[in-house]
Amino acid sequence: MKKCCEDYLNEQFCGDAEVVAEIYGEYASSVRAKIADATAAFKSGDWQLLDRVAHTVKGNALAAGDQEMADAAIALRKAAALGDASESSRFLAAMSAAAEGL
Amino acid sequence: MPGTNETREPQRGLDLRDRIAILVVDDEKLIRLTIGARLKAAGYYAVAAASVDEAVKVMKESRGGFGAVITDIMMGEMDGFVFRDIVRGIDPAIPIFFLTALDPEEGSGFLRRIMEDPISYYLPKSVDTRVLIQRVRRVIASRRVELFIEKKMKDDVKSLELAANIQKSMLPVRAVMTPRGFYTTWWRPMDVVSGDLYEAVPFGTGCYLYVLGDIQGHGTSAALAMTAVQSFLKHLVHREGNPLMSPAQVANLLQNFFRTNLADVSYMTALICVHRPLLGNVSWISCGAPDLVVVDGGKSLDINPDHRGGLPVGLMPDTFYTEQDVVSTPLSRSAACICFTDGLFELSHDEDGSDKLPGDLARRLGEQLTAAMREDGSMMVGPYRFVHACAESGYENVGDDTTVLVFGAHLELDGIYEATLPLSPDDVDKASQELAGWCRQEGWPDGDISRVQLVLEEKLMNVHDHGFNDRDRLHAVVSLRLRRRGGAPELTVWDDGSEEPSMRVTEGDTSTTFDKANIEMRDHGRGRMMVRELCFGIQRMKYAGMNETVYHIKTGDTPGKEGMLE
Repeated sequence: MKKCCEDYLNEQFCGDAEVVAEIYGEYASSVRAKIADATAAFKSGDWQLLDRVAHTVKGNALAAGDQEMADAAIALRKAAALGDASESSRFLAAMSAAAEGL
Repeated sequence: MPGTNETREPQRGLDLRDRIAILVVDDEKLIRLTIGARLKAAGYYAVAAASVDEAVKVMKESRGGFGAVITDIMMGEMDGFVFRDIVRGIDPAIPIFFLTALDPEEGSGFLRRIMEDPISYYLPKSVDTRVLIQRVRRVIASRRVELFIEKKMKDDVKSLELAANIQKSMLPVRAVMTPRGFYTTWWRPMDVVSGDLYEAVPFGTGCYLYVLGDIQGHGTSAALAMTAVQSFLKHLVHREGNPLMSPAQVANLLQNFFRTNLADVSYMTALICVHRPLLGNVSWISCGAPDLVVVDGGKSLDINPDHRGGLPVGLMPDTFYTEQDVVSTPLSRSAACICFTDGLFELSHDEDGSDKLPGDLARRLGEQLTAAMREDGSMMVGPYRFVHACAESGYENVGDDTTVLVFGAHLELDGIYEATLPLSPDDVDKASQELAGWCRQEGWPDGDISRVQLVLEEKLMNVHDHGFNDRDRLHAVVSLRLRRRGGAPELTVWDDGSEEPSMRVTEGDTSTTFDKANIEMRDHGRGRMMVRELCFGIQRMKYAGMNETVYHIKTGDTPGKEGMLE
């Protein structure tokens, strides 16, 4: 479990290991799926969809205490809003890197 | 803490009575899980919905059972604000929390949109558990307090309305006309219940004892005292009903009642009058109340130059009223006596009551109206016309309980038939027969008499059936006046029931579709069609709660008016 998530979720759920594990499991699988969605949106040049997926990742990351992922998602949203392929690619990679630790 | 599974998905036939339930709407399972688990740990019952459709379905099934809704703003198929509109259609008062990852600094204006609704709130998706629970708890608690207060106020209003109905049931009927005399009243609480009372007790030949009282203050305590005094007066009549009882004796009996039962609770100003129309006399005593006003020939008479009268009833424990406090006033048959509580002078131009009805205007209006009504036979609605005239002069804000009582001898006016009767089928039939007898004495053609009777009976039965509820109908009275105007019968009916007719009939339907409608509408007010066939004009107006309907009835003697409609 990613350390920042573990700390955050334990604090928020009073150390209830069962709940923390369930939520973290859901977070990890959802983020992986969203990154796949984001990659597909980027490849097809669908900036609107990319922005929307990044927004969802940001929300989920904040709910799970994953600030690194949330920061990458915020940056990706900005790049997608500008239609900046280079920056979008960079932050998509940052998101993928952050997901590796999950 | 157990796992979150229990609270995750909506269930059929939700029973949300035991715990406060919160609906969590988000298309992201993770959010539903995290929020649901936090709420559940805080003792709430969290119900999750993954879509707007699901949320709406659950809300409808719960029948208002949710304490709050927590929803995302950006959901797949629908904007959270559109969802809010749907929620408001189901539950206009439920608090809605918008949980969003949107940053207020992004400038999307979502905070402004949240605040467009007074019971919508913002929560960031990164919200700390303690903050989330604290905010939810506070909002739900304050909403519950508001709902409790609203319910309590509604209950209080219901109780007051019940009290008002009890008060009304204790008052004598609004107006009475006998062959000797008449009285007519206008009684209005400032706020549902009243501290004003009146009693009218018949005795002897056309004689009446009138008591008009004004308990100090208004509202519930004054209304309770009013009810006690009104009960005492009814009891007094049965126990002591002495036709020769003087106003001072009645005042002393009331004084004893206050001293015994309402000492240190309240006191009452009162005007007590004994009217003997055969003797042409009224003897009266004012116990701190406005003096009796006697209007004759359009002028109010100076009837109490010595300023006789006494203190309010119950104000001082040792008050005793004597015959020296009583005024005896001779009355001509055309004179009208006006009693009123001082609430009359609380009628005002302004909501705050700073510009109140001046005495000279009230006197002038009273003189003019009394003279006019005496001449045209509309005396029985005198108090209503008076209050209406005050309102037309701008004095329409009621600042206190107000009662006006007018009485006098019955005048037979040339060419005018007047009656005031209870609203029962038997009384209606009797009135119709009496009216026909009067018309025959006046030499009216039989056709006119039949038409007048038909119109009258239809109108009165319509008011009986549709103008009052079952309770008020028992106390309802109507007044009527019949005369010829321009050669045709003119019938005026005054009632204080609902002004809504049983059925609306457009003018154009009248003659062409009468026969057809008569069959089709036999159970739904066909009489109204009939009345329109019998009349060439019908005028309606409402003033101070009184309906006035004037029927211009067709006549064989005035063929030019056949078929005319206004």
